[in-house]
Amino acid sequence: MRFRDVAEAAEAVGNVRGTHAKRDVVAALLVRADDASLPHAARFLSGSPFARADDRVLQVGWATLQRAALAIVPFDETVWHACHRATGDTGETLGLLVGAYPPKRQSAQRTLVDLGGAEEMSVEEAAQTYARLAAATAAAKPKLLEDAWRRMSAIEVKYFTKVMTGGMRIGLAESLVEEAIAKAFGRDVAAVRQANMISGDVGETALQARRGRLGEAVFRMFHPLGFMLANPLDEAPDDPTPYAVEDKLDGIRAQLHATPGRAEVYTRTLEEAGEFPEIVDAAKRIGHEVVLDGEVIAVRADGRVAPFALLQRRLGRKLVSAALRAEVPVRYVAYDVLFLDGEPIYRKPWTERRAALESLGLSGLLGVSPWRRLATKAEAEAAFEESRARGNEGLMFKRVESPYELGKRGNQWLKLKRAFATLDVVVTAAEVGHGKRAGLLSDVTFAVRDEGGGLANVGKAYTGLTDEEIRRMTALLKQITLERYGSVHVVRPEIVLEVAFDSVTRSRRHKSGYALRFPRIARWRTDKPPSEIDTVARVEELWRLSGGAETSEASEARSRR
Amino acid sequence: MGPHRERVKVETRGRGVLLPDLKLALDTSAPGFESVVSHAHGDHIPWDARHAWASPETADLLAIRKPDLRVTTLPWREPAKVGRAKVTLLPAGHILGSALTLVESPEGERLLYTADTKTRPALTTPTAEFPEADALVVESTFGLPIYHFPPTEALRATAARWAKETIAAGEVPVFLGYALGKGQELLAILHEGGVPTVAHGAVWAMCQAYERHGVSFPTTRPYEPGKVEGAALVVPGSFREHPMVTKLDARLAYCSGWAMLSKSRVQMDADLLLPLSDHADYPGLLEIVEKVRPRKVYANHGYADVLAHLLRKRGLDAAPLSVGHVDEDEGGTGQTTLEGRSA
Repeated sequence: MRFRDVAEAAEAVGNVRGTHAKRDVVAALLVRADDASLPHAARFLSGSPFARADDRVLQVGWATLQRAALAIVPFDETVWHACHRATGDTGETLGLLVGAYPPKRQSAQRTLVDLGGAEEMSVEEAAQTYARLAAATAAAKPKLLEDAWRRMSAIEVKYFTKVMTGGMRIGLAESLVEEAIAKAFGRDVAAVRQANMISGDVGETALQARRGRLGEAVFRMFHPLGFMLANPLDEAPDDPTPYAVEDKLDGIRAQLHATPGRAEVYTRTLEEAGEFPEIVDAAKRIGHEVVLDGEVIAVRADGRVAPFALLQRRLGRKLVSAALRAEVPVRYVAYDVLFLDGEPIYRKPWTERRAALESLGLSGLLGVSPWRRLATKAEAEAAFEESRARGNEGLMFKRVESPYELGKRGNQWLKLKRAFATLDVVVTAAEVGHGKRAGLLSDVTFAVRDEGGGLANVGKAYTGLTDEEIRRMTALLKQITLERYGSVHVVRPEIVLEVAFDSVTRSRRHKSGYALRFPRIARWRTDKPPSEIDTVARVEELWRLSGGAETSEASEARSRR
Repeated sequence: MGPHRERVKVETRGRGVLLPDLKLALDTSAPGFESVVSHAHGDHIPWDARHAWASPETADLLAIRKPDLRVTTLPWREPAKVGRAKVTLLPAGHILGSALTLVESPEGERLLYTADTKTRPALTTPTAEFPEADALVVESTFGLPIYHFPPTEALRATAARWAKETIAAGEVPVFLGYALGKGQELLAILHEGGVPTVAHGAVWAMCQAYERHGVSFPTTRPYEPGKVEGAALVVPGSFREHPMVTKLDARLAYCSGWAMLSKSRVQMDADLLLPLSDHADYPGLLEIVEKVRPRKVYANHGYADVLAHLLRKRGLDAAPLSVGHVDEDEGGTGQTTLEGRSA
């Protein structure tokens, strides 16, 4: 298949409205793709040159892109910058310029990626070009890129570049590509998602879906799996007997992949966390190939759990000094095991997994979370208070017969946190503050997820972060700004906050239909991805719990979509 | 005086231009100056002036938009004495009545002020006629090389095809375009493509002025609530969130040069991006400079500094004129531009 076909499908996805229509465009392309092109096409449309489980990175930065771009367009840096500012996207800028001023074409014979002299670049050649870019030295990258671009038409340049810069911006999330795979090959969406989760490769998943072999997806260590998530409880369950009960630790949820030669810690954002080298060292000595689920916590000198604020000092550090390690000692407390010595055991019941976990004999910096069974609601309430007294957040209730449901939130696990819940939200816009916070983006608008998977604003908060945090957040907000309307920055929804508030009211002001009273930022959840924020349904539930008050706020016309 | 004639001084004032030696105020006003109005868009009307000179069509539109302005009409293509200078109006191709202003100083120096202009032919306004001049004040709204608009024929075909498809699907095609100029051009394009149209009141009011000057809209009717079936609706951009649109099963077409950028899809919540502009695109601006053959170019509005830079690279003596050129952070396509100005 030609790379042009993939680019044209991507363009078509951007031009149609609605997730169903977008999915159908992708599905039609995947059906047409030959076996060799299919995995690449699925990855490219997901906005990535390589499989998720692939360690390779392109390492093509702004300077490389600019050098290569200026070699193929007849303009200088001043003009390039102005054009880039206008579009806000490298691929789009280059596509427009190459379309209007086609560079001298490079024949296939002269390039390094020649595959038999085909005039148009094939999907496989595009994939090989990305591979060469990833492997090339920094000095060699611009020329490699330039030569590749010279073989392409404007639309190919546009999308080849968008895949490189990691943002297609055509409203196509990987979850939609999964749906397209299911549709293209007549498979169950859940089976596609499961296979993609385990293999860490949407491309391989597409191929297995075509062959009817989704069940055979092979797990590769060192790419993170989706965490099983708990639904919140507002009070202890009336009957706690079906559950194993553990303290809910106030740390960082972390998946530990360990082999004798290598270990990695992955957080909820599914990124590698490099802040805990001592845990990585300890994990290499487990003596098994294992994937654990658990929590990184900070501990005090006496071994008791320290407040989250202390742990936060270790987060986001590239280099962890010995002094910081001594100042903020950490432990890994495991509470589940998903893979053990090559065997997937996540589908087995909690009791069996727990037995496997306890058989590992973790010690030192690695521990196992204690658990017990409770008989009555009163016992559960007492246990909650004890957990709080130990400095923990509350309780976890896990059904003893439940499998580990990768990447799912459900009622198999329940969490009991505090009297009134907080919400995890994502920042959608920010505004410059006043007075002491002039010049800083201190006022943030935030959203929860709506039924359609989109975002619905639910409030605006001004306080709660330290000045240092506001400065860091301002820098980040500027980087992820999509549009500016005066002092308001509309940002890519990436920053997850936990907000506390007094109650929930109905509101016409926000798209969610609800507003939070006196919202304040409880903490910046750098450990959580935006995919795991709370939902409008959860807000509605809290609104009922807080009395279901209507407000007299003047109704505003709601936008049509 | 040396071998070269003295240059006419050019200054900006608001969104217009002053020629202080000749006491001429182009699309603006100043005490003791004669105002000349290029066309009747709000950002070119000298709101403080009591008297101005304009083309017959523009004079008619000004009577609607600024009734207290006394207007002396200047016939097309005929030099007339305005103050110390000789002024000639030539078609600018932007909207009904829009004019290029050719100014000749008593010393014989010729300056052409384009105001808003486009080089491509349109259905509702005569094609621009660019004379040679010593100095050129050229607009630079789309003065970046990313702005190469698709061929006009292709845009017209897309508009009609999309409208028909939308109607066939049982929905209402809604075209967003400025009430004066873009609106009428869209009506004419859709008529030509066999699509009946309904015009929003603001668009319809301006159609009457077009009809007085010989441009007719035989298959257009004014908007009446509930009666849009089987037709395309043409409304000003600011009406996209109005119940008259939101209550319909509507698909939106955003019709503007800014529709070249995919981000305008999200900004305008549009189903179709139609980069149909009443301004010159980048090749159009180069074409203007080639035809006018000026010794000095002043770029005005939008990407003035970048266009001047590009022209200097091509060996021309060029400078940006507008002081408030594009704010680096706004990129020229912020909300103000999208909604507040015609493009």
